[in-house]
Formats: sequence, C-alpha cells, structure tokens
Amino acid sequence: MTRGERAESNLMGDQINTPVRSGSTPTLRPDQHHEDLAESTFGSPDEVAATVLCSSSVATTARLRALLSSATPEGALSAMVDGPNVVARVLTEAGCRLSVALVEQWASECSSLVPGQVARDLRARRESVWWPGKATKPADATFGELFADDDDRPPVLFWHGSIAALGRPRVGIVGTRNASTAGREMARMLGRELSDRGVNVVSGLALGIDAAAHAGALASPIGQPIGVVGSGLGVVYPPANRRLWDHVADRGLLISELAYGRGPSPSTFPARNRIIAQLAQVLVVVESGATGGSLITVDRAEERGRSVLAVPGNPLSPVSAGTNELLRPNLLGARAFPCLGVADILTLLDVEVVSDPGFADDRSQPSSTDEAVLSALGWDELSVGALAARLSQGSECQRLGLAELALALARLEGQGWVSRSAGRWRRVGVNR
Amino acid sequence: MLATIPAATVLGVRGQPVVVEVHVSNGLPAFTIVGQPDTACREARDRVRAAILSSGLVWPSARVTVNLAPADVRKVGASLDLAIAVGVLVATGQVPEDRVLGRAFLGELGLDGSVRRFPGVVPMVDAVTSPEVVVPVECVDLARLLESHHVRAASTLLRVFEALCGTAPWPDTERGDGPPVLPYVADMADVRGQPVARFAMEIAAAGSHHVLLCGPPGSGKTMLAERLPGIMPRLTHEESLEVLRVHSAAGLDVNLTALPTLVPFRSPHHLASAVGLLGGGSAWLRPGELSCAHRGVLFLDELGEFPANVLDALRQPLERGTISVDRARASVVFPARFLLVAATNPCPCGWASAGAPIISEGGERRPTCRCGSAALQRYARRLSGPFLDRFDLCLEVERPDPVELLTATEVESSATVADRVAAARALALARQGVSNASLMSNQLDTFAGLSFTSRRLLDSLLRRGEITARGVARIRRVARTVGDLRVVSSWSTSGMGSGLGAGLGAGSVAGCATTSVLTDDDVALALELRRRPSFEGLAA
Repeated sequence: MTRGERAESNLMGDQINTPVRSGSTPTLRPDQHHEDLAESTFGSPDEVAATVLCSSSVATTARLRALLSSATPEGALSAMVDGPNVVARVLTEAGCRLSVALVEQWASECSSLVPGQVARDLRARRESVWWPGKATKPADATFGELFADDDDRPPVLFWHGSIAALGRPRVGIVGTRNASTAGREMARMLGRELSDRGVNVVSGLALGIDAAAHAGALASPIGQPIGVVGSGLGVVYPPANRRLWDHVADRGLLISELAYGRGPSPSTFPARNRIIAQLAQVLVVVESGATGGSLITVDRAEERGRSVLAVPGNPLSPVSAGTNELLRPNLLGARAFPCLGVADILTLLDVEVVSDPGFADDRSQPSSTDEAVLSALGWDELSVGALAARLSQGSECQRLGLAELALALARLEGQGWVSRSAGRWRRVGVNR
Repeated sequence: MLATIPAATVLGVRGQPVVVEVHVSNGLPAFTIVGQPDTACREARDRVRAAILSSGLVWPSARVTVNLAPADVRKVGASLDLAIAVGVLVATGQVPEDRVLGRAFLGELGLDGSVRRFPGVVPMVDAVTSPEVVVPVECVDLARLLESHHVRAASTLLRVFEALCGTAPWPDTERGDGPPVLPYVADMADVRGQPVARFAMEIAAAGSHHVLLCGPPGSGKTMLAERLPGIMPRLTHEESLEVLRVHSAAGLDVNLTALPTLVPFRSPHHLASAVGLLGGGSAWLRPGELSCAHRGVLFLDELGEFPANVLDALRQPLERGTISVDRARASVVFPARFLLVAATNPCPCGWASAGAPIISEGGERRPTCRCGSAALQRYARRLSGPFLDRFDLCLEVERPDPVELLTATEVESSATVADRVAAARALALARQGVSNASLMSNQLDTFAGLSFTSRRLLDSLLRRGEITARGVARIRRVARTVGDLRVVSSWSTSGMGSGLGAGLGAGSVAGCATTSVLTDDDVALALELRRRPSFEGLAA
C-alpha cells in the first residue's frame, strides 16, 4: 500500500465514523463513488498547480494575486520554473516587487513537490481549490459570484464540504474568544434559530463566540454552518475545536485561504476575517472587548457595505465594551444596529426565509415549591448556597433545606426552567 | 575481645534489627566498619572515637573491626553510633559483658560524648527483640508510647558508661525538651457564611469522601480544608501507632508524651518533587508527604499547578491506600490511606467563575477573568477527565459576602460537627463495616438503593453526558452519607443527645436507619455537590 493510498483509506475510515445527522445535505462520499469519478472531481492539473504554488513559504496574498492575475496556475508554475526572470519582471510590472532570487526560491520549493502525490492528496482529502477566473466546476461560479465585488478577494481558496451551504442566506456571527456564559448562550441561540429558518451561519471556528455559534447551527437539523479558518485545512486550530471542525466539514463548508499544512500566524486571522465579512450578508458581533479581531471583521464588513449588528451587553463587562461602543450613536448614527434576537437579523437580511418554525413554551408548570425557588432565583446567576440564603431571608418564601432545594433545582432543570454552569444556577428564558 | 550489641536500622517505615559486632585485636591501630554502612553510618568511626575520648574513656591502641549484621541490609543514618561505642567499651573490657545482655542501644553520638536524637526511633524500637532498649533522652517518651520495651534514657556516653558499670543510676527521669506543645486545632466556628461548603466538609469527614474545592482567591478554600481534621473522628490506638511509625520514619516525630489523637494534616507545596510526595530517596526510602497524611487529610492547594506526573502518581494511593516504591536496592510499601482535599482556582487568574455577576449581592465589585484561551485550555486539560472523576465532592466555593464576613453570627463549632460526624461514621460502620466512600459497587444496591424518581434524574444526566457511570456510583455513596447525617441530626434534635457514636450498637442501627433506599433529596444534594466544575472557555 502506498503512502497516498494509506492516507486515503484512513480518511475514508474517518468519514464513515463521523456521525451523519438527519437532514444533512448529501455530500460526495468516497464509499458511494468510484475512483474515476473522484479523479475527475478533485485534483485537476490546475488545482494541483495552485496548491503547489500556495504551499511555498514565498507565496503571499499579494504575490499570488499578481501571479495569477494574468495566467492560469499551471501556466504560472511552468513559467516560474522556465523563466524566473520573466516572471519577476511581470510581477514587478503588476505592482508587486519580487526579486529573481525569490522567484527562483519559490520555483524550487514548488518543484520539490510531486504533482501526482499532490493530486492524490487532494482527492484523498476531498479538498477543492478555487481562484478567481477558474470555471471548471459548478462550484466555481458560486465563489466567483460571491467574490465578484471584492477588491481584496483571496487569490486562492481551499474548501472542503458542501458548496450548497453558500446557496442560502448567510449571516456572520463573530465575537471574542474569552466570552461570558451569557455571550456564548446568545451566540448559540442565534446560530440555532437562524439555522432553523434556513439561514446559514458564517464564523471563524475560534473558541468562545465562534464555537458557540457553530455549535448552535449544528444543533439545528437543517443547519449548514460555514467555517472560515485562519490555518490550512489540515491544521486544526485551536485543537480543542477538532470535533466541531469535523462536524462543520461534514454538515456545511470549511474554507481556508492557506494550503493544507500551513499553520496559523497572527496575520492569518485578520485576513480570514475579511473573507467572513465578504461571505456574510449581515454581520452580528455578539461580544467583543474594546479591541480585538471581531472589530477588524466589523471594519471589513463596513468597507463592503454590509450591515452590522451588535448584541448589547452589561456595561460593566469588559467583553461587551467593544459591542456597546459599536452601538453608541454619533452624528452619523451608530455603527451597528442592536441585536436582541433573531428577528432583528432577519429584518436586516431582507431575504425570503423559511418561516418561523414556532417554538411553543411547552414546559410543564412548576409546583408551588419550585415556583418559589424560581422566583427567588429571579434572573440572577446564583450558587445553591446563595439561593438558599435568599430563600431563607424572604418572608413569603418558605424555608427549604439544602437537600430539598437541590431536589427542586434538579426537578426544574429536568423541566427546562433552570440551567447550571460553573456552579451557578440560572433561569432559562425560552425552552430550547 | 569480641562484643555483640543489638541495635536497629530502618527501611521505609519498618525497622530492621541489626547486630553490632565489635572485634578488638592486636595489630596496627585501625578502625573499620563493614556491613553496608551508608555515608552517615561510616562516619560513625570519627564520632565514636571522639566521643569515647571526650568522655574520659580509653580508646584501644589496637585494630578495631565493626561488623553490622545482617550484611545484606543497608544501614543508614547515625543511629548505630551508641551501639558501636558501647561495643568498643565492652570489647576492650571497660564495661563488663554481662551488663549489656538483653539491652539494645540506639542513638547518635556527638564529639563531646552527648547522645542525640535521630529520625525513625519508633520503627527501630519496634524492631528491637531484646527486652530493654536504651534511647536518647529526647526520645524516651516517644519510645515508651509503644509500651513494648523497657526504655532507658541516655543523655551522654559517660552517663551510659556509669549506669552500665553500676556506679550511677540511669538518667531515666531527665527530660530532653520542655513539655510538648499541643497542636492548635482550627475551629469551624471561624468560618463565616459558606453553609454549603461547611456541610460538604461535614459530609467528607463523615463518609471519607475526597473533596475538590474550586473557587476564586479568598473564598476560604484553605481555611475550610484546615478545619477538616478538627471534625474528623479521633484516631484509635492502633491508628495512632500507625501514624506515629510513619511520622517517626519520616523524621517528623516531636517529643510526644501521648499518642496523637488528632488526624494528621499535610499540605505539600505544588513545587514538591514526586519523590518528596510519594516517598523514596536513594539511601533511606523515606516516606513522603502522602504517607505522612496516612489516616489523615492530604491537602493539595493549587491542584492545577502540580505537575502532571505527580497527579498521575496519586491514583495508586487513592485506589489502594498504599504506595509501593521500587528501587534497584530495595522495595518498600508505604501506607497512604488519606482523605484528599484539593483546592484549585477556576482558572489561572482565579476569577473565571466570578465572571457573570460583576457586582455581588453585597455590592462588592469583583475582578473578572483576564486569562487567555490557551492558558484556560492548559489549565482545564490538567484538571479534567479521569482524575477529577475521583473526587466524590466537587464544590464551587464563592467569596463570602462582605456583610456576612463582618456580622458575627452564631455558627456551629467543630466539636458539635465532630459529634455528628462520629455518629454518622459509627452508623455506616455498623451497617456495612466500611465507610461510605469505600462501598463496593455491588454493595450499592443493598445499602444505597435508588428510588424511581432519582433513577430517572440520574438517567437523564447520564444521557446528556453531564455525569459518568463512575460519577453515579459516587453520587450514591455521597447520598448515603447525607442520609446518615440526616438520621444522626434527627437523633440530636429528638433529645437522644450527642456523642452517641460511641455506644451505637447494631440494634439501634436497625431501628434508626430502616430504609436502604436513598431519598430523592439526598441524591439531589449529592448531585449538586458533585457536578464537575466547568472550566470556562471550553463550554462550546
């Protein structure tokens, strides 16, 4: 068994083990298709050339753009190997200074890769490559359309999953990695409810808000989350999101500007954010500190004329400082609209969406004891001890022992009235 | 010309009898020690010679050979000095041979002839087979606690010589130190607020459940842990001797005049090495901190800062109650049956769980967590999975309200709680013969059955993945303890008085704890006290 075949069989095994959720869009699966079909779908000579070009350390967005503006990847690659002087001159004329030595380095790094192996890898990973001007697959038109008006469009994109995810209305949900419990819950709820209505979530697969939004989208039976990541598709970053990453690839679409094995760097995340801003028709910032990547995404979205919404937060919470600032009106109005729920997003989105599936509050009515616990809890986050203290102070509330209180809370949790996180109990507003 | 003096050395926590043979013969003056002495033991040559000369006794101008038998055991430390010196005195005819018959000698010598204390007295005296043993005067009380030998005191080599020759009495009544200082026992009454945490400590003490305390700085985690020994049942005579042996071997023994009754409390620092915690070392195989906490409380503060290999090494003692240390030279088994109390911050900066309500009930403004996600992940990775599953109680401790801190309210003292704990323990022992934490899983259905409601509750949590199967068993054990404490409290309120743990017979147990099925309340409380602390940043 060759190395490529082994990688392929490993991947097939992985995919078979990945849980397939009901309602997921049928994607191409290796076990359903013959090798010859896969051969025609992934890893065409041009795609291989584009992958090889991107794999080099010399390849930057500007250089790739200049290189591919006048030639196909295959043509550019052969030109680079045959005449580095010509390529260097053409690139410099195109506004991207590049020395002959660098072109030679680029060419030598490219020629160290075996095209056959690259093609086999692309097929095994079921990874597609797109660049502006490519039009060999139906999917290429979709990307071409989406990036048509983007001045800063990526020179090459790698993607994996179902292109159909881009066919639906798309809302970007971004926010801080160090999110609060409430922020994560909000992101999750928005992700879930948008997906339930046939709107897909675009996010960055980072920790915190991004992960919660994707998890919410995956919780919907028809959600097709779109993840735009800041590393190559083969480098899961952050590693803690590996399972989420797999599920997004399985159900929706995973997009990266970097070649498969390239790791993330501080500059790749802001670059990733401009793709999110471009793909999202509306951008929602759930929580953001006074500075941070989410605000970069907001800048990019504003440049592209996208509407921005921000979820208002507790004025004392540092992770809501950025979003609250977005909502502060100045002479020209506020930078962002307030987002208090999915309805605010749908109004701005202005597209036909699947009508509200309608969630009735079907929780059973709590008993009088449980009702007293619920009213004592209010809308605060309390530990069981603090709640017991509060119950023992209230005159009208009956006194409860710690064990009785624990049982009441367990009962209420089972009925969906309260939830517990980090040792604190919290009332749940709407049953999900 | 030949003298044979019994003595002892120590390996791990067990003493080994040693016979010191001294041979004095004609030849070039020399002094050699054979029989695997370690460095400290070999240096006895210089100490013994100087001590004999400073005491005004005669050092033979001859060839002196000392053999430490059995030859295959490594002799460590300076405890054989006195036996060697006495052997030289006997072999040179300065002390009649019949005066040392049936007497073992233990002690380190100073150059001035003084007899000094040394670590490991208790296991060494234990190992001595002769009926009488001579020990340094500072260790006399300790050695007498064993009640196994006639203990003689030695203050200086000269006094020993005089006593052996019959010219002066033994200095038995002399005291080495002042009266021993009684350990200060922190009282539960000092803890303000924290009703849930206090109750959790009571449960831990009553059922021997390991506890994890998780909370921001200043929430009283250390304070609570330090008060645990005060509410745990006092040590029995046998337990006390076990503790004494380990502490003596570790060199922790002070001049006790009575057996310790308070359970030991050890709180090793997180920079302690694995050997320091588990025991070992190249020559001695000294018991580590875990063994010093035997029959007591092991408090690991800042659990997340302990190296991963140390946390992994905790698993064996937690399961078996012993630590086996295997070295090329020797293998020993240290006892280590302790109650583990661990404390951790919810994140490296400590403020993660205080994130949501930024202003507390009392108006106190709290900092919020500023940890980066990578730091949070590293922290959570270290404190996750199977290791956390071993704690029966996982408790989130909150900073008490400033109002509660400043207003003096009457709270229970340790003595009151200790009475209940002792009664609940006695109840559990009378019912099943072991503490609730040690209930085997096949005993759970007999002693901690589940009602239909609680079964359904646990089932739904299992399905959602919030608890594990191991967690369910632990919840049932804790619920059994909660139930026992409830029964015990109902006794004290119904006028049966406190302190009934002692006289509790099987009959009264049958009358009081009729049902073996756990009540739903108890299960819910056990569940509440065991939910995994969710480390922030990984919730999605």
